[in-house]
Amino acid sequence: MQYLKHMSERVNFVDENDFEYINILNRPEFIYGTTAISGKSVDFYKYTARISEEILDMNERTRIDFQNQSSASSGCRLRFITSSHKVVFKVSLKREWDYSKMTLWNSSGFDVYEINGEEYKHRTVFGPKTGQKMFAEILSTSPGKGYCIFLPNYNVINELYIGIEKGSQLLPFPYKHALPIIFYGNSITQGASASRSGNSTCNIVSRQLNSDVVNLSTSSSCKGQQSVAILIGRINSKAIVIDYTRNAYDIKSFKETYERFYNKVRYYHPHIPIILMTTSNFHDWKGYYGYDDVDKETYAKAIIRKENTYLINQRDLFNGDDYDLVAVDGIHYTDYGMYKIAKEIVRILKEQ
Amino acid sequence: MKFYNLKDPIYIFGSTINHIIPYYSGFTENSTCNPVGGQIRFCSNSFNFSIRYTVSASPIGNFQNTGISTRSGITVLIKNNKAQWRIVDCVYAKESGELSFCKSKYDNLPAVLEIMICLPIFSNLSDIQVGIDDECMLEVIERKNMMKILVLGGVSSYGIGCTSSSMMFSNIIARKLNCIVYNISFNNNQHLEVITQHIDRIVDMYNEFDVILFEADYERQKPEIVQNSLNNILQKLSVYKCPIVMWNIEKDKIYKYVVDNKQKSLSPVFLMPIKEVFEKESDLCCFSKNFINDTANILLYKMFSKFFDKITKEC
Repeated sequence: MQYLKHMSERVNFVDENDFEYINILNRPEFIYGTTAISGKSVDFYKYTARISEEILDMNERTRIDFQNQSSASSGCRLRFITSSHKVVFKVSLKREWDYSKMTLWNSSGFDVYEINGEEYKHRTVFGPKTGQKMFAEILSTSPGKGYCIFLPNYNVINELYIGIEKGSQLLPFPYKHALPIIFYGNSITQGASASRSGNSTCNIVSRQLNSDVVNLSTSSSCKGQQSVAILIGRINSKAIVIDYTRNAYDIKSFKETYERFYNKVRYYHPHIPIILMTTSNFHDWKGYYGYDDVDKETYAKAIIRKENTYLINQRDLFNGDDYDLVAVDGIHYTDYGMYKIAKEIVRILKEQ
Repeated sequence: MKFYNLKDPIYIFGSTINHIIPYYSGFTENSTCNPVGGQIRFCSNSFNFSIRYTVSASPIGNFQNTGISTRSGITVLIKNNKAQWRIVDCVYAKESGELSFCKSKYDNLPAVLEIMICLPIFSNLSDIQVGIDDECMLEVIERKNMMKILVLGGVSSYGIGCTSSSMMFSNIIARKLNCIVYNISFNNNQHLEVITQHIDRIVDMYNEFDVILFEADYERQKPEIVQNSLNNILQKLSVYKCPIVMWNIEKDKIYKYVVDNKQKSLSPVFLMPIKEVFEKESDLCCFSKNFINDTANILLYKMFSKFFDKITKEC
């Protein structure tokens, strides 16, 4: 890896005269997982201006987290096929510092998979060290093979260029089935605290089902607003995972918003599977117990109405003896936790 | 609240916090000491707790795979009334930090609470104190019947790849099996060479171990270093007359050394070719061939835990 002072700085590991660069942010056909489906440039912003204004009017913690995370590339992927034998990445990120509960290869990591048929094989992960946000990296590629790179879960990509050998091609690598699975949740659903960006639950599900995903989760900002339910309602999707619980202001506002939120999403998507999740509470924090009761009640009503709805009780997926291994701080999952949740989501969706 | 100094050795378990072996940050030898692999343990009947700590000499390097809480922060755990550990939080502070909690927020806690604090792997811990309610007591954990385990190794044993220090397999073993784990590991690609330099001092410092978990190899380690160092280290460790579990190995590469050692009737040596497991589960366990993550540390604990039963029966 070479750290750059500016994006036009030449890299020292290849002769740049033999490469041509493509500004990926001007080529939306290479990026998957964004909500913006039109326009000539990639827009990582998760929400409409109106919803953003609504969230920015909330409390200070929510506002700060939303400002940092609303255009993070969590759940987004760069997918391509190339005839080039080497690919050079030049990247400029917004943030150069660690988050206290995750590695930099998650928050700022580019997690590279090579795809053969439906099989994803992990190749490498790269990202800058503490204090750096502009860098170049090289990846050796096999011509004709597909590549899927999971983008940083907790950082914003300001610039992204890909250099390929002159005369070679870089082609989009679409999914066979275009409809995405939507994830809506909190900091965990956004990706904390997987060890690398590809190992968040949403991204594991994407790999295991070889499916497009849209991750609308932003840390602290998941409040179950009706406007977000309508946004989700308007995205043509094959399944929805709702991990809205503990970001609610309190149990009272959770009770007022949760069932309404679910019903609104269900109104727009009457038939597809919707998976509800209880709280991720692995330190027996009493404050969260009431939230789970609301989840369960909403689920029970949906089942009475014979809706295609499922409930994942996150605590029940693990043995109580293992709770100190599931999450780094009692809440935010390790890969161990992420995989178990993903496995359960995949199991439900495969039964459809 | 009244505050107690937790840097007192009566509260420190398995740490190299006060010993004289320098640590290697991978690019420079640091002559000061850090508390890698150490825990602070105590009990108290207090209702409220406040843990204050100060760290220094936090290195900045290529640690993209290791959480800043592991490098320079602490993780606090409590034991519930079913003897299960629960994580209160993992935190990081650039210099001084504080973590406060109240028992009333958590379910299933006993009247006298056992607390474990997992310490940072890179920063020096200049100061650490706990504040408890004025009328309450701080109790020392009895360590008389605890099993003593030596974790000797390199990058993976050191905790590189962990998001928080509570996920290091040495710390998981310490709390889950309620034993004292001495983690003497080096963040160095050629760690057998470094262990060779320090093995006499290690043997002088520690009288007994019940089991030794020895990270015998590493992807980037030069074969000649393995060839030159391994027998010598195994011979020195045989003074403990306890089982030695060698892991992170390619079976064929290490096999001949083990055969040699058996011929010399040294300590019983067990091979755990864990690399094969990690390779099979690479998506879940690895960043690359060089680095394992939290999940791999969890798997290591689970494998060692099963292995301890086997060793106990065979020895």
